[in-house]
Amino acid sequence: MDTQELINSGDLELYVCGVLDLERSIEITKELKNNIPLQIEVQQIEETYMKLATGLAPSKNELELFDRLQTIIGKDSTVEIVKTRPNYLAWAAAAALLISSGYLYISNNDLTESNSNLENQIVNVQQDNEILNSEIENVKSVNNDYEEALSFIKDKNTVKVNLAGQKGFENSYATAFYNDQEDVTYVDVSGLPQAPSDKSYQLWSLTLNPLTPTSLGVVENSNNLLRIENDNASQAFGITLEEYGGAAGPNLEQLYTLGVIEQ
Amino acid sequence: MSTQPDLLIERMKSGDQTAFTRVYDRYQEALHGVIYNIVKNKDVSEEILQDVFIKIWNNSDSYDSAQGRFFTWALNISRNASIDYLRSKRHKDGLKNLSTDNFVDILETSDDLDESTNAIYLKKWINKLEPMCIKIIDVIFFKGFTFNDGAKELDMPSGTLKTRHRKCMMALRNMIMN
Repeated sequence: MDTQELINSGDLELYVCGVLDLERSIEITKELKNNIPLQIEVQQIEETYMKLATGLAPSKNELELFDRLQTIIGKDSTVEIVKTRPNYLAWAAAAALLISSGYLYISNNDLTESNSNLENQIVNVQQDNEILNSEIENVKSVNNDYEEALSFIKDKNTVKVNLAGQKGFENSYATAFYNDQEDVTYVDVSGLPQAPSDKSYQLWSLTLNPLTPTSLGVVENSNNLLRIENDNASQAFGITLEEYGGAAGPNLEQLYTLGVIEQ
Repeated sequence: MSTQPDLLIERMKSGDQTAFTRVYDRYQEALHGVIYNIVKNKDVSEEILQDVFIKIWNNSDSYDSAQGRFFTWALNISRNASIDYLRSKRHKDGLKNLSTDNFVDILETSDDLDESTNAIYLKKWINKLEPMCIKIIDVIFFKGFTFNDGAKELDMPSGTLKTRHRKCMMALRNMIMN
């Protein structure tokens, strides 16, 4: 089966879903090695499934859940250390015996030790390398995001929308960058105060006459420019403070910022 | 498009908690969606998600990249944990019955998903899919039926199921990627 035949066969979708038998999965993994078009295909299939499943994930208290998880995992590693201690003692006892049995053994031991030190150093350098490679990947990805945002902002069709602080929240502000040719809007919410832990800021796309709000989802406090999917023909944007996770409609008494798009 | 973070996965396998955190960040939401689609209860889905990541951490050594993707491995753990819950005494003692809903019924009726931006976009995409595609994707991806069982469930020859599944996924992928 050549690359295109394999792509068209439907096996790659089943491979990612995990419903192929083991033998066929191993065969496909082998095919993937050094075959970039196949790798790209599999990555896109995986990404499609992940986006599909993400749309079915209910909102949750991320921090609480992760804290709980980390507490449990932290405990587990303590157990691991306790478990390995007797082994360590046995090795130490063995080493003590060796040392006490004469000079030759000592020299031998020294050699082994320096050998194992070198091995440890190699492992450490390899680990450092992996960490650095992974950091490079992260920086590259952040860089791509910045480049994408910059080219969006520089586009001739992009307009800057100042979302001014509303009554009671005069010190708040936000900025949106809107482009009616694109299905994306960028917002800067760094001028909003920290939301209380049981509340969320929610971004609304508004059409005027009649005033119709459409939720663009909750926005976290952030100093970064946020990329928001928005295929609405927006005429204005507003940000309200809502119960944690957001609300079906905006609570206008908690309208922090509002700005109309000037075309 | 992002590739599988092999380095992070390797570091997690050797016990690096920071790497585990990154892996968690990357996969948790999609796995949560799969779990929620099976158990249909927000609190239970969070508990299972937590258990799934504990299993991922404790058993990361058993992930073998020669056998497939990390996502596929984690997906199987998530489905199995969710199905185990449905079979458990705790669930049977509860009020919920085994349901034949598919993911679109859940997307449209669940109160837990109303405000999620991801759910809003998913609804738009799903509305454009053929009804048979929804059944196929539900059985193969979310419910993880074996290929032959899926063909029986949908009453179609397995060859047809495979090609239709591919077509449905291409349609969905074109909407999601563009």
